[in-house]
Amino acid sequence: MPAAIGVLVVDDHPAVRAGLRALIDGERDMHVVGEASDEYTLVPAIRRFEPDVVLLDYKLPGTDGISLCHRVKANASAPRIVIYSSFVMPSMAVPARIAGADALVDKAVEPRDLTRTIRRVAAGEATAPQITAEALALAGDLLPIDDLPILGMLVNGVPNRELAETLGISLEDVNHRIDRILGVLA
Amino acid sequence: MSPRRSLLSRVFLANALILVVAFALLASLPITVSWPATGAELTVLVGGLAVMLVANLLLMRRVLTPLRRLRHAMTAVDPLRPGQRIDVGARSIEVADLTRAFNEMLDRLEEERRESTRRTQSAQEQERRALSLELHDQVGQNLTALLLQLDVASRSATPEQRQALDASVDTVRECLDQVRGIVRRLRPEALDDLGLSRAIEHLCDRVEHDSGIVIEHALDPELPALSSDAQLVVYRVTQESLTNVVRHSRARRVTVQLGPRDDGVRLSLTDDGTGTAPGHREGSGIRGMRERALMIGAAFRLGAGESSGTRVVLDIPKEETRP
Repeated sequence: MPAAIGVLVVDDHPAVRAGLRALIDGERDMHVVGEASDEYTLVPAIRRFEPDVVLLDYKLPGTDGISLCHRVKANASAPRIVIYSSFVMPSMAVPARIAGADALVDKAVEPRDLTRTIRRVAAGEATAPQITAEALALAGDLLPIDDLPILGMLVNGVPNRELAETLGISLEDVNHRIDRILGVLA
Repeated sequence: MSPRRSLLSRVFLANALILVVAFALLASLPITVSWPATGAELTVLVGGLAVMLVANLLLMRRVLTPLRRLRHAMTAVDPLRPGQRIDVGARSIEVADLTRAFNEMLDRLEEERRESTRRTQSAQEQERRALSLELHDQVGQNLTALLLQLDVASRSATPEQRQALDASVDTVRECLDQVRGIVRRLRPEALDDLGLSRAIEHLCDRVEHDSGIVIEHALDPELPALSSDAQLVVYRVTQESLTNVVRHSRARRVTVQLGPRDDGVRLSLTDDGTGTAPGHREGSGIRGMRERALMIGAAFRLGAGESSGTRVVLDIPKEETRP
């Protein structure tokens, strides 16, 4: 039997963390390796607990899960990330995909669906949020024209390095532009 | 034409005119009164007096009519329908002054009312925002936690207990849906995220979905940008009007139009429902819409639709658009 999936639970509400812990620890093939409550405790917790999957609340004090996800994913050995949100609107799929989130789950789903998603994400199965044409059009409306080519490449899964080469800018600049795009969309 | 005479001089002149005429008649006609007066003399005197009194009455009425009209105009002014100014065709300085002072007072009152409505509305919006955040962050999160706890509890439960727990899960889920619904109504989050046109589209789609009433929207893409106050007013008036349609009109179809008009923007909602009965007292919802309109100097009209139903029109002035 493969090793149990280590999950890091990130939510600013202790009650929600406790509920998630009880849920995940109740499954045979996964367990909670640690908890974090905000952006400052998240990165140390990832380093310390080396989780396979991070369950990341969308709404955190002073920031949002999608921007945090992008920051964590900039690291090569980043864990897989499931964004867990109270309101999943179709428009959120675009920034979630850009930030490199592995899944987007609504807090009102059946707990069974949440654990199933964690399992699939840990196994590397594609569960990335589906982007509707409408969501993409909306994202296009919100962004400045300069950012539209980047948006197009990002949602089509073009890697950052290739993106930098195509646009003739540095990788750092690409990341910076993505941060800005997420600032608008997330 | 501005009047040149005061009320006093007009009254005086009217009386003087009668007295002068009476004096001239007495002086120029061969009229004598003996002592004691004979019946014929008394008849002439009484007749003369009657003529003077009637003449006086007519003249006084002519002088004072603008005052009476002024009073009527003052009582007819409706504070919720701004921009009404009175003009009674004053012929005396006092009445003209009074009219001007009253009109200026209306200016000040309307300005003050606009300002205080703006303050109340913005306090109300802030309060709603704070409430919705609290509901979302506290009640909503606790309900989420409860959902997870119930799920864990049901795993180690007996079949009968599990049945009871499943019922609780359903209730909690329903609660969570209600909280989300309230949060959405309290705070037009969509307005911040999507912009006015899309937020209204979103609102229409949701109401259509929830009520089964067909909502057609024609939102002009060439809409001038509106101030954030005006956007909120358009959104809330649409929201309130649609709520009224759903609750009271028995309509099957509503048309929502938003587009440029005379340098400003016009919002109109027309339904095919039962309409409002004439003389029907306006409820707090409609009053609220009038006050919101006042706040941005917009004209709000509520009336019958072309064939049936109700038509709501909000005309936002050029001043509330952004270049």
